[in-house]
Amino acid sequence: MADVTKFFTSSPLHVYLLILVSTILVLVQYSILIHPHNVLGQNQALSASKVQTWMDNLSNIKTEFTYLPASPGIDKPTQLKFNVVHLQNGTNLGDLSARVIVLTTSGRQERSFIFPNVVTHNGSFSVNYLFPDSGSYQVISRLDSKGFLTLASFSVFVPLLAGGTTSTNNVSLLVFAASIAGIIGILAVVAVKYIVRKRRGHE
Amino acid sequence: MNPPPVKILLFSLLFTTAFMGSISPLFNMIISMNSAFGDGLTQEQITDSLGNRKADLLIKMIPTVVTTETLEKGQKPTIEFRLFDSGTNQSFSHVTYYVIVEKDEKKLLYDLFHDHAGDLRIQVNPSNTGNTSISGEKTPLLGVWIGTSAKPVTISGPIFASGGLYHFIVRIETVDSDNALLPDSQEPIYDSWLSIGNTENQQIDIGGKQVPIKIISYYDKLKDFRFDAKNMQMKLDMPFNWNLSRLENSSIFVHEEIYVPKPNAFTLKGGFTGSVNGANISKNVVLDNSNPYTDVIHVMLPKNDLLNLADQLDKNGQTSNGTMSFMVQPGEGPANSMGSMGSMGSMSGSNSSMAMGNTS
Repeated sequence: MADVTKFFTSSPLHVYLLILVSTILVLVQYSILIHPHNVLGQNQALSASKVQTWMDNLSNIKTEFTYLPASPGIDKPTQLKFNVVHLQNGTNLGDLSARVIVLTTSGRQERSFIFPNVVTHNGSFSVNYLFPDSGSYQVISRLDSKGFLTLASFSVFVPLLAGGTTSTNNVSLLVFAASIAGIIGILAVVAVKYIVRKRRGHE
Repeated sequence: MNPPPVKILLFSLLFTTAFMGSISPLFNMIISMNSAFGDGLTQEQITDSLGNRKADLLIKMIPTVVTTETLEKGQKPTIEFRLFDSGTNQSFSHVTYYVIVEKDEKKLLYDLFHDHAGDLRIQVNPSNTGNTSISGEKTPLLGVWIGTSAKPVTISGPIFASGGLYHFIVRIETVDSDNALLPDSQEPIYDSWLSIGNTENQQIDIGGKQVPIKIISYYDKLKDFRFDAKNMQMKLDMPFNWNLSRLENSSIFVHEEIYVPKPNAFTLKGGFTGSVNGANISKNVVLDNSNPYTDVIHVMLPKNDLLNLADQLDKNGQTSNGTMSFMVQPGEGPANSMGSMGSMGSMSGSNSSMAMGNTS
Protein backbone atom coordinates (compact mmCIF):
# COMPACT_ATOMS: atom_id res chain seq x y z
CA MET A 1 0.00 0.00 0.00
CA ALA A 2 2.85 2.31 0.84
CA ASP A 3 4.43 1.60 -2.53
CA VAL A 4 1.27 2.55 -4.31
CA THR A 5 1.03 5.82 -2.39
CA LYS A 6 4.65 6.55 -3.18
CA PHE A 7 4.07 5.83 -6.86
CA PHE A 8 1.29 8.41 -7.07
CA THR A 9 3.04 11.10 -5.07
CA SER A 10 6.56 10.69 -6.39
CA SER A 11 5.93 12.26 -9.78
CA PRO A 12 3.19 14.27 -11.56
CA LEU A 13 3.76 12.05 -14.57
CA HIS A 14 2.45 9.13 -12.61
CA VAL A 15 -0.67 11.12 -11.74
CA TYR A 16 -1.31 11.95 -15.37
CA LEU A 17 -0.76 8.34 -16.36
CA LEU A 18 -3.35 7.36 -13.80
CA ILE A 19 -5.83 9.89 -15.19
CA LEU A 20 -5.22 8.63 -18.70
CA VAL A 21 -5.73 4.99 -17.82
CA SER A 22 -8.82 5.77 -15.75
CA THR A 23 -10.36 7.85 -18.52
CA ILE A 24 -9.73 5.20 -21.12
CA LEU A 25 -11.21 2.56 -18.86
CA VAL A 26 -14.31 4.69 -18.20
CA LEU A 27 -14.82 5.43 -21.88
CA VAL A 28 -14.33 1.82 -22.90
CA GLN A 29 -16.68 0.68 -20.18
CA TYR A 30 -19.24 3.30 -21.24
CA SER A 31 -18.97 2.23 -24.83
CA ILE A 32 -19.34 -1.44 -23.98
CA LEU A 33 -22.21 -0.99 -21.57
CA ILE A 34 -24.22 1.54 -23.49
CA HIS A 35 -23.50 0.47 -27.03
CA PRO A 36 -22.22 -3.06 -27.01
CA HIS A 37 -22.99 -3.43 -30.74
CA ASN A 38 -20.25 -0.91 -31.54
CA VAL A 39 -17.68 -3.16 -30.04
CA LEU A 40 -19.20 -6.11 -31.78
CA GLY A 41 -18.69 -4.21 -35.03
CA GLN A 42 -22.15 -4.21 -36.62
CA ASN A 43 -21.77 -2.89 -40.14
CA GLN A 44 -24.54 -0.43 -40.89
CA ALA A 45 -23.28 0.07 -44.40
CA LEU A 46 -24.92 -3.20 -45.40
CA SER A 47 -28.46 -2.09 -44.51
CA ALA A 48 -30.78 0.25 -46.39
CA SER A 49 -32.24 3.44 -45.02
CA LYS A 50 -35.74 3.71 -43.65
CA VAL A 51 -38.48 3.75 -46.29
CA GLN A 52 -39.77 7.19 -47.20
CA THR A 53 -43.23 7.37 -48.77
CA TRP A 54 -44.83 9.92 -51.07
CA MET A 55 -48.58 9.69 -51.62
CA ASP A 56 -50.51 10.79 -54.68
CA ASN A 57 -54.17 10.32 -53.92
CA LEU A 58 -55.29 11.95 -57.16
CA SER A 59 -53.51 9.26 -59.20
CA ASN A 60 -53.86 6.58 -56.50
CA ILE A 61 -50.10 6.11 -56.47
CA LYS A 62 -47.66 5.56 -53.64
CA THR A 63 -43.93 5.95 -54.28
CA GLU A 64 -41.55 4.38 -51.78
CA PHE A 65 -37.90 5.37 -51.53
CA THR A 66 -34.88 3.93 -49.78
CA TYR A 67 -31.16 4.32 -50.24
CA LEU A 68 -28.28 1.94 -49.73
CA PRO A 69 -26.12 2.24 -47.72
CA ALA A 70 -28.18 3.89 -45.02
CA SER A 71 -25.19 6.11 -44.37
CA PRO A 72 -24.05 7.42 -47.76
CA GLY A 73 -20.38 8.19 -48.14
CA ILE A 74 -18.96 11.11 -50.02
CA ASP A 75 -17.88 10.11 -53.54
CA LYS A 76 -18.97 6.55 -52.89
CA PRO A 77 -21.83 4.94 -54.82
CA THR A 78 -25.20 5.15 -53.13
CA GLN A 79 -28.11 3.25 -54.59
CA LEU A 80 -31.33 5.28 -54.69
CA LYS A 81 -34.19 2.80 -54.88
CA PHE A 82 -37.80 3.47 -55.81
CA ASN A 83 -40.90 1.32 -55.73
CA VAL A 84 -44.21 2.46 -57.17
CA VAL A 85 -47.39 0.90 -55.86
CA HIS A 86 -51.05 1.31 -56.72
CA LEU A 87 -52.80 2.61 -53.62
CA GLN A 88 -56.02 0.67 -54.04
CA ASN A 89 -54.84 -2.84 -54.80
CA GLY A 90 -51.23 -2.62 -53.60
CA THR A 91 -49.81 -3.98 -56.83
CA ASN A 92 -46.64 -2.67 -58.42
CA LEU A 93 -47.11 -0.54 -61.50
CA GLY A 94 -45.62 -1.47 -64.81
CA ASP A 95 -45.03 0.48 -68.00
CA LEU A 96 -43.43 3.46 -66.29
CA SER A 97 -41.09 6.08 -67.62
CA ALA A 98 -38.94 7.45 -64.82
CA ARG A 99 -36.75 10.47 -64.32
CA VAL A 100 -34.71 11.07 -61.16
CA ILE A 101 -33.28 14.41 -60.11
CA VAL A 102 -30.84 14.90 -57.25
CA LEU A 103 -30.67 18.42 -55.86
CA THR A 104 -28.66 20.09 -53.15
CA THR A 105 -27.93 23.55 -51.90
CA SER A 106 -25.19 22.43 -49.54
CA GLY A 107 -21.90 24.17 -50.11
CA ARG A 108 -23.85 27.40 -50.70
CA GLN A 109 -24.50 26.62 -54.33
CA GLU A 110 -27.36 24.83 -56.00
CA ARG A 111 -26.28 21.66 -57.71
CA SER A 112 -28.35 19.14 -59.57
CA PHE A 113 -27.97 15.88 -61.41
CA ILE A 114 -30.54 14.32 -63.71
CA PHE A 115 -31.04 10.68 -64.58
CA PRO A 116 -33.31 11.32 -67.58
CA ASN A 117 -34.47 7.88 -68.72
CA VAL A 118 -34.37 5.35 -65.95
CA VAL A 119 -35.27 1.78 -66.81
CA THR A 120 -38.09 0.47 -64.65
CA HIS A 121 -39.14 -3.08 -63.96
CA ASN A 122 -42.53 -3.89 -62.52
CA GLY A 123 -42.76 -0.55 -60.74
CA SER A 124 -39.23 -0.67 -59.33
CA PHE A 125 -36.17 1.21 -60.43
CA SER A 126 -32.92 2.47 -58.99
CA VAL A 127 -29.97 4.69 -59.80
CA ASN A 128 -26.48 4.85 -58.36
CA TYR A 129 -25.28 8.28 -57.34
CA LEU A 130 -22.00 9.55 -55.87
CA PHE A 131 -22.79 12.32 -53.44
CA PRO A 132 -20.04 14.90 -53.95
CA ASP A 133 -20.28 16.46 -50.52
CA SER A 134 -21.88 16.13 -47.14
CA GLY A 135 -25.22 17.73 -46.42
CA SER A 136 -28.88 17.44 -47.28
CA TYR A 137 -30.03 16.36 -50.70
CA GLN A 138 -33.48 16.37 -52.30
CA VAL A 139 -34.28 13.46 -54.58
CA ILE A 140 -37.21 13.99 -56.93
CA SER A 141 -38.76 11.30 -59.06
CA ARG A 142 -41.01 11.98 -62.01
CA LEU A 143 -43.06 9.07 -63.28
CA ASP A 144 -44.94 9.09 -66.55
CA SER A 145 -47.38 6.35 -67.37
CA LYS A 146 -50.44 5.84 -69.46
CA GLY A 147 -53.13 7.81 -67.71
CA PHE A 148 -51.17 9.60 -65.02
CA LEU A 149 -48.07 11.52 -64.13
CA THR A 150 -46.71 11.88 -60.65
CA LEU A 151 -43.90 13.69 -58.88
CA ALA A 152 -42.40 12.62 -55.57
CA SER A 153 -39.81 14.21 -53.32
CA PHE A 154 -37.50 12.56 -50.80
CA SER A 155 -34.51 13.54 -48.69
CA VAL A 156 -31.07 12.07 -48.16
CA PHE A 157 -28.55 13.22 -45.59
CA VAL A 158 -24.90 12.62 -46.31
CA PRO A 159 -22.81 12.80 -43.14
CA LEU A 160 -19.43 14.45 -43.00
CA LEU A 161 -17.58 11.23 -42.24
CA ALA A 162 -17.74 8.34 -44.64
CA GLY A 163 -19.78 5.55 -43.17
CA GLY A 164 -21.03 7.78 -40.40
CA THR A 165 -24.63 8.36 -39.66
CA THR A 166 -26.63 10.52 -37.40
CA SER A 167 -27.19 7.56 -35.11
CA THR A 168 -26.18 7.50 -31.49
CA ASN A 169 -23.69 4.73 -32.21
CA ASN A 170 -21.39 6.88 -34.25
CA VAL A 171 -21.84 9.88 -32.02
CA SER A 172 -20.47 7.89 -29.08
CA LEU A 173 -17.57 6.68 -31.19
CA LEU A 174 -16.79 10.23 -32.17
CA VAL A 175 -16.87 11.31 -28.52
CA PHE A 176 -14.60 8.43 -27.60
CA ALA A 177 -12.04 9.21 -30.31
CA ALA A 178 -12.07 12.92 -29.54
CA SER A 179 -11.59 12.24 -25.83
CA ILE A 180 -8.59 9.96 -26.39
CA ALA A 181 -6.98 12.45 -28.74
CA GLY A 182 -7.51 15.28 -26.29
CA ILE A 183 -6.13 13.38 -23.33
CA ILE A 184 -3.06 12.21 -25.23
CA GLY A 185 -2.40 15.76 -26.35
CA ILE A 186 -2.67 17.21 -22.85
CA LEU A 187 -0.55 14.42 -21.48
CA ALA A 188 2.16 15.00 -24.03
CA VAL A 189 2.35 18.70 -23.17
CA VAL A 190 2.52 18.00 -19.45
CA ALA A 191 5.16 15.31 -19.90
CA VAL A 192 7.36 17.56 -21.96
CA LYS A 193 7.05 20.34 -19.38
CA TYR A 194 7.88 17.89 -16.58
CA ILE A 195 10.95 16.54 -18.33
CA VAL A 196 12.22 20.04 -19.15
CA ARG A 197 11.69 21.17 -15.54
CA LYS A 198 13.46 18.08 -14.18
CA ARG A 199 16.47 18.62 -16.44
CA ARG A 200 16.69 22.23 -15.34
CA GLY A 201 16.61 21.02 -11.71
CA HIS A 202 19.52 18.70 -12.33
CA GLU A 203 21.48 21.54 -13.91
CA MET B 1 -29.47 4.11 -18.45
CA ASN B 2 -29.99 7.63 -19.77
CA PRO B 3 -27.52 8.82 -22.40
CA PRO B 4 -25.09 11.52 -21.29
CA PRO B 5 -25.95 15.16 -22.13
CA VAL B 6 -23.05 15.44 -24.61
CA LYS B 7 -24.40 12.57 -26.62
CA ILE B 8 -27.90 14.06 -26.64
CA LEU B 9 -26.56 17.44 -27.70
CA LEU B 10 -24.47 16.07 -30.58
CA PHE B 11 -27.24 13.78 -31.73
CA SER B 12 -29.76 16.62 -31.66
CA LEU B 13 -27.45 18.88 -33.64
CA LEU B 14 -26.84 16.32 -36.35
CA PHE B 15 -30.47 15.28 -36.56
CA THR B 16 -31.73 18.86 -36.68
CA THR B 17 -29.24 19.73 -39.41
CA ALA B 18 -30.31 16.78 -41.51
CA PHE B 19 -34.01 17.33 -40.92
CA MET B 20 -33.99 21.08 -41.47
CA GLY B 21 -31.81 20.77 -44.55
CA SER B 22 -34.07 18.24 -46.14
CA ILE B 23 -37.32 20.09 -45.63
CA SER B 24 -36.22 23.72 -45.56
CA PRO B 25 -37.70 24.57 -48.98
CA LEU B 26 -41.11 23.70 -47.59
CA PHE B 27 -40.62 25.37 -44.26
CA ASN B 28 -42.31 28.63 -45.12
CA MET B 29 -45.50 26.90 -46.12
CA ILE B 30 -48.15 25.77 -43.74
CA ILE B 31 -50.73 24.66 -46.13
CA SER B 32 -54.13 23.15 -45.81
CA MET B 33 -55.74 20.93 -48.38
CA ASN B 34 -59.09 21.75 -49.79
CA SER B 35 -60.84 20.64 -52.91
CA ALA B 36 -62.75 23.29 -54.74
CA PHE B 37 -65.41 22.75 -57.35
CA GLY B 38 -66.73 24.78 -60.18
CA ASP B 39 -68.85 24.27 -63.25
CA GLY B 40 -68.72 27.33 -65.37
CA LEU B 41 -68.64 28.57 -68.88
CA THR B 42 -65.73 30.55 -70.17
CA GLN B 43 -64.17 31.76 -66.92
CA GLU B 44 -64.09 30.63 -63.33
CA GLN B 45 -62.45 31.77 -60.15
CA ILE B 46 -62.23 29.02 -57.57
CA THR B 47 -61.25 29.70 -53.99
CA ASP B 48 -58.85 27.68 -51.88
CA SER B 49 -55.97 28.40 -49.53
CA LEU B 50 -52.26 27.82 -49.05
CA GLY B 51 -51.52 28.14 -45.37
CA ASN B 52 -52.61 31.57 -44.28
CA ARG B 53 -52.75 32.81 -47.85
CA LYS B 54 -55.82 32.67 -50.03
CA ALA B 55 -55.11 30.75 -53.19
CA ASP B 56 -57.70 31.43 -55.87
CA LEU B 57 -57.38 29.83 -59.24
CA LEU B 58 -58.66 31.77 -62.22
CA ILE B 59 -59.34 29.61 -65.25
CA LYS B 60 -60.21 31.78 -68.19
CA MET B 61 -60.77 31.21 -71.86
CA ILE B 62 -59.39 33.83 -74.24
CA PRO B 63 -61.41 34.98 -76.13
CA THR B 64 -64.42 34.58 -73.92
CA VAL B 65 -66.66 33.15 -76.62
CA VAL B 66 -65.53 29.89 -78.08
CA THR B 67 -68.00 27.84 -80.08
CA THR B 68 -67.74 25.05 -82.58
CA GLU B 69 -68.50 27.65 -85.22
CA THR B 70 -65.67 30.01 -84.22
CA LEU B 71 -63.30 27.06 -83.97
CA GLU B 72 -64.20 25.91 -87.47
CA LYS B 73 -63.23 29.37 -88.64
CA GLY B 74 -59.71 28.82 -87.30
CA GLN B 75 -59.96 30.26 -83.81
CA LYS B 76 -57.21 29.07 -81.46
CA PRO B 77 -58.31 29.79 -77.94
CA THR B 78 -55.90 30.26 -75.05
CA ILE B 79 -56.58 29.04 -71.54
CA GLU B 80 -55.20 31.13 -68.73
CA PHE B 81 -54.44 29.62 -65.33
CA ARG B 82 -53.59 32.18 -62.69
CA LEU B 83 -53.01 31.24 -59.06
CA PHE B 84 -53.22 34.30 -56.87
CA ASP B 85 -53.90 35.52 -53.38
CA SER B 86 -57.31 37.12 -53.64
CA GLY B 87 -56.56 39.09 -50.49
CA THR B 88 -53.73 40.98 -52.18
CA ASN B 89 -54.39 40.17 -55.85
CA GLN B 90 -50.76 39.08 -56.10
CA SER B 91 -49.96 36.06 -58.23
CA PHE B 92 -48.06 33.21 -56.65
CA SER B 93 -44.66 32.70 -58.21
CA HIS B 94 -43.01 29.53 -59.48
CA VAL B 95 -46.29 27.70 -59.80
CA THR B 96 -46.30 24.20 -61.25
CA TYR B 97 -49.74 23.06 -62.36
CA TYR B 98 -50.74 19.46 -62.92
CA VAL B 99 -53.55 19.79 -65.43
CA ILE B 100 -55.96 17.02 -66.35
CA VAL B 101 -58.58 17.66 -69.03
CA GLU B 102 -61.47 15.26 -69.48
CA LYS B 103 -64.54 15.15 -71.65
CA ASP B 104 -67.31 12.61 -71.30
CA GLU B 105 -65.10 10.88 -68.69
CA LYS B 106 -62.34 10.38 -71.24
CA LYS B 107 -58.93 11.78 -70.32
CA LEU B 108 -57.69 14.06 -73.09
CA LEU B 109 -54.67 15.57 -71.35
CA TYR B 110 -52.60 15.10 -68.24
CA ASP B 111 -49.31 16.94 -67.91
CA LEU B 112 -47.29 19.36 -65.85
CA PHE B 113 -47.04 23.05 -66.69
CA HIS B 114 -45.09 25.84 -65.09
CA ASP B 115 -44.88 29.59 -65.09
CA HIS B 116 -42.37 31.42 -62.95
CA ALA B 117 -44.81 34.32 -62.61
CA GLY B 118 -47.71 31.99 -61.85
CA ASP B 119 -49.73 33.05 -64.91
CA LEU B 120 -49.81 30.00 -67.15
CA ARG B 121 -51.07 30.24 -70.73
CA ILE B 122 -51.91 27.25 -72.89
CA GLN B 123 -52.94 27.73 -76.48
CA VAL B 124 -55.24 25.07 -77.86
CA ASN B 125 -55.27 23.96 -81.49
CA PRO B 126 -58.32 21.69 -81.69
CA SER B 127 -58.09 18.81 -84.13
CA ASN B 128 -59.88 15.54 -84.55
CA THR B 129 -56.72 13.48 -84.21
CA GLY B 130 -56.90 10.93 -81.45
CA ASN B 131 -53.70 11.92 -79.68
CA THR B 132 -52.75 15.08 -77.85
CA SER B 133 -49.37 16.60 -78.61
CA ILE B 134 -47.65 19.44 -76.77
CA SER B 135 -45.01 21.83 -78.02
CA GLY B 136 -43.06 24.48 -76.18
CA GLU B 137 -40.16 24.89 -73.81
CA LYS B 138 -39.53 22.71 -70.80
CA THR B 139 -37.86 23.30 -67.46
CA PRO B 140 -34.45 21.56 -67.45
CA LEU B 141 -34.84 19.57 -64.25
CA LEU B 142 -38.39 18.29 -63.99
CA GLY B 143 -39.14 18.52 -67.71
CA VAL B 144 -42.26 20.60 -67.10
CA TRP B 145 -43.80 22.62 -69.92
CA ILE B 146 -43.40 26.39 -69.60
CA GLY B 147 -46.27 28.57 -70.79
CA THR B 148 -46.09 32.32 -70.36
CA SER B 149 -48.40 35.04 -71.62
CA ALA B 150 -45.75 36.03 -74.16
CA LYS B 151 -44.96 32.49 -75.20
CA PRO B 152 -47.76 30.06 -74.40
CA VAL B 153 -47.29 26.33 -74.61
CA THR B 154 -49.30 24.84 -77.48
CA ILE B 155 -51.52 21.79 -77.31
CA SER B 156 -52.89 20.11 -80.41
CA GLY B 157 -55.48 17.38 -80.25
CA PRO B 158 -59.10 16.64 -79.43
CA ILE B 159 -59.38 19.29 -76.71
CA PHE B 160 -62.17 21.70 -77.73
CA ALA B 161 -62.62 19.79 -80.99
CA SER B 162 -66.28 19.35 -80.15
CA GLY B 163 -68.77 21.40 -78.20
CA GLY B 164 -69.85 20.80 -74.63
CA LEU B 165 -68.31 20.67 -71.20
CA TYR B 166 -64.63 20.10 -70.58
CA HIS B 167 -63.65 19.02 -67.11
CA PHE B 168 -60.46 20.61 -65.78
CA ILE B 169 -58.76 19.15 -62.71
CA VAL B 170 -55.87 21.32 -61.62
CA ARG B 171 -53.50 20.38 -58.83
CA ILE B 172 -50.83 22.76 -57.60
CA GLU B 173 -47.49 20.96 -57.34
CA THR B 174 -45.17 23.84 -56.41
CA VAL B 175 -45.41 27.46 -55.34
CA ASP B 176 -42.64 29.91 -54.38
CA SER B 177 -39.95 27.50 -55.58
CA ASP B 178 -39.58 25.47 -58.76
CA ASN B 179 -38.57 22.26 -57.05
CA ALA B 180 -40.10 22.30 -53.57
CA LEU B 181 -42.98 19.90 -54.08
CA LEU B 182 -46.07 20.30 -51.95
CA PRO B 183 -46.98 17.07 -50.15
CA ASP B 184 -50.17 15.41 -51.30
CA SER B 185 -52.10 16.46 -48.21
CA GLN B 186 -51.26 20.12 -48.84
CA GLU B 187 -51.78 20.40 -52.57
CA PRO B 188 -54.86 22.39 -53.54
CA ILE B 189 -56.97 20.64 -56.16
CA TYR B 190 -59.37 22.66 -58.26
CA ASP B 191 -62.30 21.21 -60.19
CA SER B 192 -63.70 23.24 -63.02
CA TRP B 193 -65.68 22.91 -66.20
CA LEU B 194 -65.28 25.12 -69.23
CA SER B 195 -67.83 25.11 -72.02
CA ILE B 196 -67.39 25.14 -75.74
CA GLY B 197 -70.60 26.42 -77.24
CA ASN B 198 -72.09 23.93 -79.60
CA THR B 199 -73.45 25.79 -82.58
CA GLU B 200 -76.34 24.37 -84.55
CA ASN B 201 -77.94 26.03 -87.54
CA GLN B 202 -81.59 25.23 -88.12
CA GLN B 203 -84.47 26.43 -90.27
CA ILE B 204 -87.87 27.11 -88.75
CA ASP B 205 -91.15 27.79 -90.47
CA ILE B 206 -92.74 31.01 -89.26
CA GLY B 207 -95.91 31.97 -91.12
CA GLY B 208 -94.92 29.85 -94.09
CA LYS B 209 -91.53 31.48 -94.33
CA GLN B 210 -88.29 29.63 -93.67
CA VAL B 211 -86.21 31.52 -91.12
CA PRO B 212 -82.57 30.52 -90.42
CA ILE B 213 -81.80 30.38 -86.73
CA LYS B 214 -78.67 29.55 -84.75
CA ILE B 215 -78.62 27.77 -81.41
CA ILE B 216 -75.57 27.75 -79.15
CA SER B 217 -75.66 25.24 -76.33
CA TYR B 218 -72.96 26.01 -73.77
CA TYR B 219 -73.57 23.08 -71.46
CA ASP B 220 -73.68 20.16 -73.83
CA LYS B 221 -74.42 19.30 -77.39
CA LEU B 222 -78.11 19.20 -78.27
CA LYS B 223 -79.35 15.79 -79.23
CA ASP B 224 -82.63 16.90 -80.77
CA PHE B 225 -84.30 20.01 -82.12
CA ARG B 226 -87.93 20.33 -83.21
CA PHE B 227 -90.14 23.25 -84.15
CA ASP B 228 -93.91 23.11 -84.05
CA ALA B 229 -94.97 25.81 -86.52
CA LYS B 230 -98.63 25.53 -85.56
CA ASN B 231 -98.07 26.20 -81.83
CA MET B 232 -94.85 28.18 -82.38
CA GLN B 233 -93.03 25.86 -79.98
CA MET B 234 -89.29 25.38 -80.14
CA LYS B 235 -88.15 22.15 -78.47
CA LEU B 236 -84.54 21.30 -77.63
CA ASP B 237 -83.26 18.15 -75.97
CA MET B 238 -79.88 17.96 -74.26
CA PRO B 239 -78.20 15.18 -72.25
CA PHE B 240 -78.21 16.04 -68.56
CA ASN B 241 -77.35 14.19 -65.37
CA TRP B 242 -80.02 15.16 -62.85
CA ASN B 243 -78.29 13.51 -59.89
CA LEU B 244 -79.00 15.82 -56.95
CA SER B 245 -75.75 15.23 -55.07
CA ARG B 246 -73.77 15.96 -58.23
CA LEU B 247 -75.63 19.23 -58.65
CA GLU B 248 -75.15 20.12 -55.00
CA ASN B 249 -71.40 19.54 -55.20
CA SER B 250 -70.80 21.74 -58.21
CA SER B 251 -71.36 25.32 -59.23
CA ILE B 252 -73.41 24.61 -62.28
CA PHE B 253 -75.01 26.83 -64.88
CA VAL B 254 -76.96 25.82 -67.97
CA HIS B 255 -77.14 28.30 -70.81
CA GLU B 256 -78.74 28.07 -74.24
CA GLU B 257 -78.76 30.86 -76.80
CA ILE B 258 -81.17 31.05 -79.74
CA TYR B 259 -80.37 33.58 -82.48
CA VAL B 260 -83.33 34.67 -84.59
CA PRO B 261 -82.98 37.32 -87.31
CA LYS B 262 -85.13 40.46 -87.02
CA PRO B 263 -87.94 41.03 -87.64
CA ASN B 264 -89.74 37.83 -86.78
CA ALA B 265 -93.03 36.73 -85.29
CA PHE B 266 -91.30 34.50 -82.74
CA THR B 267 -89.76 37.34 -80.75
CA LEU B 268 -92.28 40.02 -81.69
CA LYS B 269 -94.26 39.88 -78.44
CA GLY B 270 -91.10 40.09 -76.37
CA GLY B 271 -92.42 37.64 -73.76
CA PHE B 272 -91.84 33.90 -73.64
CA THR B 273 -93.19 30.82 -72.00
CA GLY B 274 -90.58 28.21 -71.20
CA SER B 275 -90.40 24.80 -69.61
CA VAL B 276 -87.90 22.08 -68.80
CA ASN B 277 -89.24 18.54 -68.76
CA GLY B 278 -92.67 20.12 -68.37
CA ALA B 279 -91.78 22.34 -65.40
CA ASN B 280 -92.28 26.06 -65.89
CA ILE B 281 -89.08 28.09 -66.31
CA SER B 282 -90.57 31.16 -68.03
CA LYS B 283 -88.71 33.51 -65.70
CA ASN B 284 -85.43 32.01 -66.92
CA VAL B 285 -86.07 32.92 -70.55
CA VAL B 286 -84.61 36.31 -71.42
CA LEU B 287 -84.56 38.30 -74.63
CA ASP B 288 -81.54 40.32 -75.71
CA ASN B 289 -82.78 42.66 -78.40
CA SER B 290 -79.84 45.05 -78.36
CA ASN B 291 -78.55 43.90 -81.73
CA PRO B 292 -80.31 45.66 -84.64
CA TYR B 293 -80.27 42.57 -86.84
CA THR B 294 -80.64 39.62 -84.52
CA ASP B 295 -82.63 38.85 -81.41
CA VAL B 296 -81.02 36.49 -78.93
CA ILE B 297 -83.16 34.39 -76.62
CA HIS B 298 -81.23 33.21 -73.57
CA VAL B 299 -82.41 30.28 -71.49
CA MET B 300 -80.40 30.42 -68.28
CA LEU B 301 -80.66 28.03 -65.37
CA PRO B 302 -78.47 28.87 -62.35
CA LYS B 303 -77.64 26.27 -59.73
CA ASN B 304 -80.48 27.03 -57.31
CA ASP B 305 -83.07 26.77 -60.07
CA LEU B 306 -81.51 23.53 -61.28
CA LEU B 307 -81.63 22.10 -57.76
CA ASN B 308 -85.30 23.02 -57.42
CA LEU B 309 -86.03 21.57 -60.83
CA ALA B 310 -84.14 18.37 -60.07
CA ASP B 311 -86.01 17.97 -56.79
CA GLN B 312 -89.36 18.66 -58.43
CA LEU B 313 -88.75 16.43 -61.44
CA ASP B 314 -87.30 13.64 -59.34
CA LYS B 315 -90.58 13.38 -57.43
CA ASN B 316 -92.42 13.07 -60.73
CA GLY B 317 -89.96 10.49 -62.06
CA GLN B 318 -88.88 12.76 -64.90
CA THR B 319 -85.14 12.72 -64.31
CA SER B 320 -84.32 9.11 -65.10
CA ASN B 321 -84.03 9.55 -68.85
CA GLY B 322 -80.87 11.70 -68.51
CA THR B 323 -82.35 14.44 -70.68
CA MET B 324 -83.12 18.10 -70.26
CA SER B 325 -86.00 18.94 -72.64
CA PHE B 326 -86.52 22.64 -73.22
CA MET B 327 -89.63 24.17 -74.69
CA VAL B 328 -89.77 27.84 -75.62
CA GLN B 329 -92.69 29.64 -77.24
CA PRO B 330 -93.81 33.25 -77.53
CA GLY B 331 -95.90 34.30 -74.57
CA GLU B 332 -97.91 37.17 -73.25
CA GLY B 333 -96.82 39.71 -70.74
CA PRO B 334 -93.80 41.92 -70.37
CA ALA B 335 -90.58 40.63 -71.80
CA ASN B 336 -87.65 39.59 -69.68
CA SER B 337 -85.21 41.68 -71.60
CA MET B 338 -81.60 42.60 -71.20
CA GLY B 339 -79.36 45.15 -72.79
CA SER B 340 -76.31 43.00 -73.16
CA MET B 341 -74.76 39.87 -71.73
CA GLY B 342 -72.21 41.92 -69.85
CA SER B 343 -74.65 42.16 -67.00
CA MET B 344 -74.45 38.39 -66.60
CA GLY B 345 -70.76 38.45 -65.97
CA SER B 346 -70.96 37.04 -62.51
CA MET B 347 -73.32 34.20 -61.79
CA SER B 348 -71.88 33.19 -58.49
CA GLY B 349 -72.01 29.70 -57.20
CA SER B 350 -71.12 28.66 -53.68
CA ASN B 351 -67.41 29.07 -54.11
CA SER B 352 -66.81 30.30 -57.58
CA SER B 353 -67.85 32.92 -60.03
CA MET B 354 -68.28 32.45 -63.71
CA ALA B 355 -68.69 34.56 -66.76
CA MET B 356 -70.03 34.04 -70.20
CA GLY B 357 -69.52 35.86 -73.39
CA ASN B 358 -71.70 37.43 -75.99
CA THR B 359 -71.47 36.77 -79.66
CA SER B 360 -74.15 39.24 -80.61
